[in-house]
Amino acid sequence: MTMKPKLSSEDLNPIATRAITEVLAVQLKRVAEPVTPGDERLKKATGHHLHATVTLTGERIIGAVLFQVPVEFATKVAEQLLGSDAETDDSKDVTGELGNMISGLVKGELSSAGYHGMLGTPTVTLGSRITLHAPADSELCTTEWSCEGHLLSLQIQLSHPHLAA
Amino acid sequence: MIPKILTVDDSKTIRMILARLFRPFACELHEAGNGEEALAVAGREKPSLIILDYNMPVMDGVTMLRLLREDEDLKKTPVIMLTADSSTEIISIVARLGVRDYITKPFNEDQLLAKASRLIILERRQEGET
Repeated sequence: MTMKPKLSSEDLNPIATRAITEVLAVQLKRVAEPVTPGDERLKKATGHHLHATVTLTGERIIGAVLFQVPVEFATKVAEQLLGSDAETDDSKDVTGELGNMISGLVKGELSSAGYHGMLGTPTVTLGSRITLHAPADSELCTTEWSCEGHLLSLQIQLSHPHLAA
Repeated sequence: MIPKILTVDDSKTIRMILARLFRPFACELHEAGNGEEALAVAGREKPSLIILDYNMPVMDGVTMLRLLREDEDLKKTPVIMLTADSSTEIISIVARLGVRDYITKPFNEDQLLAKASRLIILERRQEGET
């Protein structure tokens, strides 16, 4: 990707796609299929979700990556990764680590494009589905995914502080 | 004497994945949640191999590694660094730290086992052995 003054949601979409599909494929050996924005399933995506948020801070970019999954998906993954040793709270830690991996790949691609920054450590919360807040003059890229019947969401929000009007 | 492996990561998930990965092999596993804890465990146990996360609270992997290299008894301990940050600048930093190998997250478990096997002898446990 050639360096542009500002990354758009269209620029971020393939980055998000590669990050989530690689983490699910390599670490979980699962396939994620993209879900289009108007899909009816999204309206029915209620219930408790785990949200892993990782901040990204650099000279040319400030933002966050949010990976959110239904609690049932996180529990299934915890059992897969941790086996019979999995405990109730492990689904939170698993979600945080998947968010960490996804953010690392996002950061890697942004760095290759000239947008360097540092990642924070993941913060994991529990609640209904959420959307990252996108301040004025920032970009929010939202991608939705289906994995074995569960709806996952990956959002990347970026501002360019030195390009503010 | 069976090898001792110290896994260092603030993520319990990663520590448990690694524990499951090495459980079938005759080795003694130790864990730490940050670099500070890891130095204490390493000083006590003198591990044969350390698998060390790059980014951790309290004390990160880079700092821990620098302090490890200052310890006469531990400075030659082979280290495999684990990092979620796949950017070229981080990989360059890791390479300059004198780690024996590194692996980026997400990681293929067979690849990590292969890297570990190049540094220590890993033999499968006999049936019934714990």
